[in-house]
Amino acid sequence: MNNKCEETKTDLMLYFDGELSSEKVPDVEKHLKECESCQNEFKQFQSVRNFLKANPVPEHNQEYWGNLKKRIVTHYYNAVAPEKERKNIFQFLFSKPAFWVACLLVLFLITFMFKGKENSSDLLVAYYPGEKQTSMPKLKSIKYSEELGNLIVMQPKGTDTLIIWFTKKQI
Amino acid sequence: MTKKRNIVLFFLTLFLASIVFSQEPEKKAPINFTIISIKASNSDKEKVTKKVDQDILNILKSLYKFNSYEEINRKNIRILEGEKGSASLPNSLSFEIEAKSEKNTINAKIIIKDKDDQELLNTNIEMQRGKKIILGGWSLNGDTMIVVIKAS
Repeated sequence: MNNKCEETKTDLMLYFDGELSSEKVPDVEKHLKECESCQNEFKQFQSVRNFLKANPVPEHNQEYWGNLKKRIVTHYYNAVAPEKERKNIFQFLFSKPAFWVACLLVLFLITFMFKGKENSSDLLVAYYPGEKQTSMPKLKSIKYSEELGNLIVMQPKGTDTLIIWFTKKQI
Repeated sequence: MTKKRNIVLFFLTLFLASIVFSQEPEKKAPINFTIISIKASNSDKEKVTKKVDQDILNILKSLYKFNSYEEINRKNIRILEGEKGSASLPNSLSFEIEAKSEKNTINAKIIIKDKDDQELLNTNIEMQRGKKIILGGWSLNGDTMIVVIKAS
């Protein structure tokens, strides 16, 4: 393919469509007679036009063209995409921001559900023979008369009930 | 895609807003205390229960081996935060309570006095609404006295 071919090719389609300026037409026709490669290309144009004339593009409404992209994508995933690409649901989920947002929400919910339950199963047992400040979380301080006897404080395991129990003594 | 993202962002905003509003300071509500006096005894040969709430009975039975439990007194005290409330207990005892509320917990100052106004017990306890505190063990005319305090 020489430089003349390159120049002619840009004009060949215009010539084929009858839109080339009259000044250039003789040059293109002359080159076509001499160059087999360009003749072949011109014949291809003619065969494509003949095919299109024999098989006109069907007319479709706006909706058809609007859904074209969606149908191509669906077709790709159903028929063309590799099997593993279609079946790897985790890969698909991980790529979606909505999935991560959902995970975040579930994490928040779990955190709130279990908030404040950390002390629910502690077993607290204490014995106070007299007045004493306490470090037990639920019993801030206690002061009592000897008349009540000695004191046991406890929270049975698995309950939220605090028990302040005095040894038996008549009052 | 934009529509989906907007929906996700809408629900995320809604969720975060609900968290923020749920953490607004709670309004001060009156605090109700129920003071239940129970006489526990081993004098009865057979196990006897009179008027005692089942949930309280379950706790007592799991801890002690008395033959009978009988509710002998029940008082309701309704106080506002910082106020004092009082009630009389069997055997000429008096019960005083003062409370401050913080979210679901109540910091209660409980005082039990004898008939001569002498303090027998003075304690600060952190209670939870709906939960119980059991005080007791001292003798009541040969039996054992138990005081259950419920906050709500």
